[in-house]
Amino acid sequence: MAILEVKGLKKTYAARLGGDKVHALTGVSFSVEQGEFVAIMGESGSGKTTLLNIVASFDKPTGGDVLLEGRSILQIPEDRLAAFRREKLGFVFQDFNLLDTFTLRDNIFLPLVLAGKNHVEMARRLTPLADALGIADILGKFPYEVSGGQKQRAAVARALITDPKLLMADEPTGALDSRAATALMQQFERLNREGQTILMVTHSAIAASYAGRVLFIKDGQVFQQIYRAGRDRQKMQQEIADTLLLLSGGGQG
Amino acid sequence: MRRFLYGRLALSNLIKNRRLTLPYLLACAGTTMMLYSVVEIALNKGMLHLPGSAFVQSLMVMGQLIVSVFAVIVLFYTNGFLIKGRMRELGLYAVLGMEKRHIAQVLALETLFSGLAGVGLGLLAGMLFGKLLFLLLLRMVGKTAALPFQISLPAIVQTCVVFVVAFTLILVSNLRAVGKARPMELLQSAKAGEREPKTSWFAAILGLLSLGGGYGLALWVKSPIEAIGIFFVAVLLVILGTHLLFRAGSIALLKLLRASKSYYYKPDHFISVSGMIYRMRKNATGLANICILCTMVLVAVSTTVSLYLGVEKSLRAQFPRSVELYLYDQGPLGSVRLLAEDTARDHSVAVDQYAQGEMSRMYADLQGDTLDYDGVAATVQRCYFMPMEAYETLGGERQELQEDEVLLFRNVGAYGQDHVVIETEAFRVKEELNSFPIAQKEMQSVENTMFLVFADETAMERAFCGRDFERFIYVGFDLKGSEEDAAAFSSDFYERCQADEAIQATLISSDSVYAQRETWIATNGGFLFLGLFLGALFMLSMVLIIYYKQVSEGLEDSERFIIMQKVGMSRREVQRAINSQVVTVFFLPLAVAVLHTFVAFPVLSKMLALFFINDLWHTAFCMLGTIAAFSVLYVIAYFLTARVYYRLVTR
Repeated sequence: MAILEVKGLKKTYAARLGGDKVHALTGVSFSVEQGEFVAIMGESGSGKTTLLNIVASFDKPTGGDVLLEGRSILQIPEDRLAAFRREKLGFVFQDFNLLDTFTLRDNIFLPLVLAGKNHVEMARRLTPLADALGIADILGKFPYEVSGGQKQRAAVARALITDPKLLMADEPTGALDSRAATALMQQFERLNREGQTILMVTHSAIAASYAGRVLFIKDGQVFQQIYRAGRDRQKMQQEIADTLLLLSGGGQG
Repeated sequence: MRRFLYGRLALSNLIKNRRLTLPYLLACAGTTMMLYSVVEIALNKGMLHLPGSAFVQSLMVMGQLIVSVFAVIVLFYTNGFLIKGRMRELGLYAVLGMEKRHIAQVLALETLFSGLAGVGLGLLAGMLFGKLLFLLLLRMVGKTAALPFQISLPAIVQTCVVFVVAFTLILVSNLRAVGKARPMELLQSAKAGEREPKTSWFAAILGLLSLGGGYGLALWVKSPIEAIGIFFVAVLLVILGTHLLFRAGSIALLKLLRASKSYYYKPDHFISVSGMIYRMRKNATGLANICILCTMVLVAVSTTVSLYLGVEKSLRAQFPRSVELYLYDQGPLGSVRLLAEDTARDHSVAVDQYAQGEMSRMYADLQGDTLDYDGVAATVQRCYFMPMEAYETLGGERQELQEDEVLLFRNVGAYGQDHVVIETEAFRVKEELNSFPIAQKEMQSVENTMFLVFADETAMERAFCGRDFERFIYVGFDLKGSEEDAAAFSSDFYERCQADEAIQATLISSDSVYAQRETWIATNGGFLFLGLFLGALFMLSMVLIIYYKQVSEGLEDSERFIIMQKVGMSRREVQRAINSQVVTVFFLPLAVAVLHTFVAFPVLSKMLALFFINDLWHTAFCMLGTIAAFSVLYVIAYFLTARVYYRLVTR
């Protein structure tokens, strides 16, 4: 069953002072099945971040539709959007977006607090998650006291604590060193094995090689997609690199 | 050409940062205007010719000192906000290749421009509104004479000198800040978060002790004379205590709130408590300053309002009869009465409630039921002894007294005992009077006064215990008729008494409500003007601090609220969290200031007793009225600045 369906998504930005229009997306369609790990790749300016923002309901498309569990997210009224994001989606950002005013524990609790959950329930949910992500003993520290990798794992815990249908990640390894990046991707792989659906935007071939399927976006459209289909990760990485080369070399400009 | 470039850069910086520089400029203009006006009034030569205004002018000299010092502090403090917010921008210049001396040049030009604009605008406004303020002052002190409010060069020069000093200090501190910093630090300084502060129990306890000490002094002050000395000590202790408690106490309290899981993990509390802990150290100082300024406004305005509205009460307390004379000798009593009635006829007023009587006056220490003539304790009383005969001519109702019986009256509180021992002689108190013809029952007074009425001279002599006390005759009466006629009567009557040799020879002193009213209105009006003036100045700086607090925090918080919206917080929830935080932060100082003012009530009302404002209810009403009016202004200031904050956070 498709958990996410993106249908003919278009996004046009009017340039300032009414000049030329910028077409960020010209018609993107794809779907993500329950339990899939999908990576979206493309060069800077290819429209991948715009795509993620629309799926995350941060932004509205000019045309097309986005269905989550068969329901259009574009129909959700403004005042329900925040609660919708909180309940159905989890986010991991490139720059972590942890709040310096909170300890890691409270950062992770934030969406649950906003949802009005009881603190006993919150603690009950946190324990297995913190153990799995290896941050159990630094929960009392503040974001400025821990490393980038630890920050990103805390951000992952924050995204997962609401038990979201879809985990969305925007360049999650972008600000991490290679060891931390590898560790994070192994976490994602494991989460996916346990049934978590993941949609990740990245331009790192290594990061994308952990995904089950990679979509390539070029000039606002899905250009190609490749499946890992049980292949070795090294082989997958090689094919991604080849496709990227094709993408930048053989394009129409 | 190059200098021109820096000038343009400086000017465009000021305009680009107008959200920060404009209030600064207005504050500068506002303080300039106030300083110029008060200096001009202090220097105004025309006022020398008005009776009773010498004191008012000396008040203004004091006022100009306070305004000068305060203006420098306020500008310096506000500049701190400005420069901190701009460190990043200055760092960018350094990274782009500007040398420190170029940055210094830009800063110096900026200071020069904003100083010239602010002071120039302020002087202009001072010349316009100064006249208005001057008219207001003249009205308050009861002078109707049309005095010119000239534009005076010395006042302009004096004002400029103060601001040149202020801006030089500001420039030096800015240059030092830039000089010390490395470009990368400049770039990052705006982002550097505050480490979570530690709870300092030492500071918390010291603050508690200091505040408690100040409160204790204010609450348990015994006499008005004591009040003056104690007041300033108490003020200093309370200021220190407020600062320490806002720092240590608020952090301790917030951490306690955070430790309570069921309180802390609620959407509103969660965000506001953590936000407040995060910048509590900086916050606490700002809040303590706001709180102290609030208290200063409340104290200055409520006491001076109480003085001004209490002029008639204070005159009544000093003059049980409108016109009073004190004589050594019985001899000319008859001619005094005739003179009074003759003069009254000439001024078409009528003499009313005429009272006279001979009495003795002495000081004695009251311990329990015993009066001791040699006592020097703080419980010393002013005592008036008189025989029943004199009590009757003063207007009292005749009562039959035995040789060992007395009537007793105290101006403050009740005596409440059925006998009194004077040195060694015991008397039975036949009745404690609730009122006395020539005295008022007061709620508090500078001096405790006691009147004792004896059966006759012999009984009174017995109470003297062989001592010789000053004797005098009191004559007092009211006047019926218009105020002007009565005032004319009183000055004429005084001259005629002086002219009459028999009266003049035995006259100790004479005074009247009419002679004193002008002086008291001038004095208390001067105080009110100064109180309102300083109140306005404190208020101005308070609004300024609140504004900059809101702006600097709004800029910091906007990032946090963007993140919160990303992880699933709606705009409505953002708004509620903001309200919860901002309301706590801004109404805390007001609440504490009101508490301070309430606690100051005993000491303030005792100080007012020195000005013969003895009615506690009157003072209480003035204080409550001031608090109400101030709270309204505070709420308005809050809403105006909260909008700025909200706009910054949710943009």
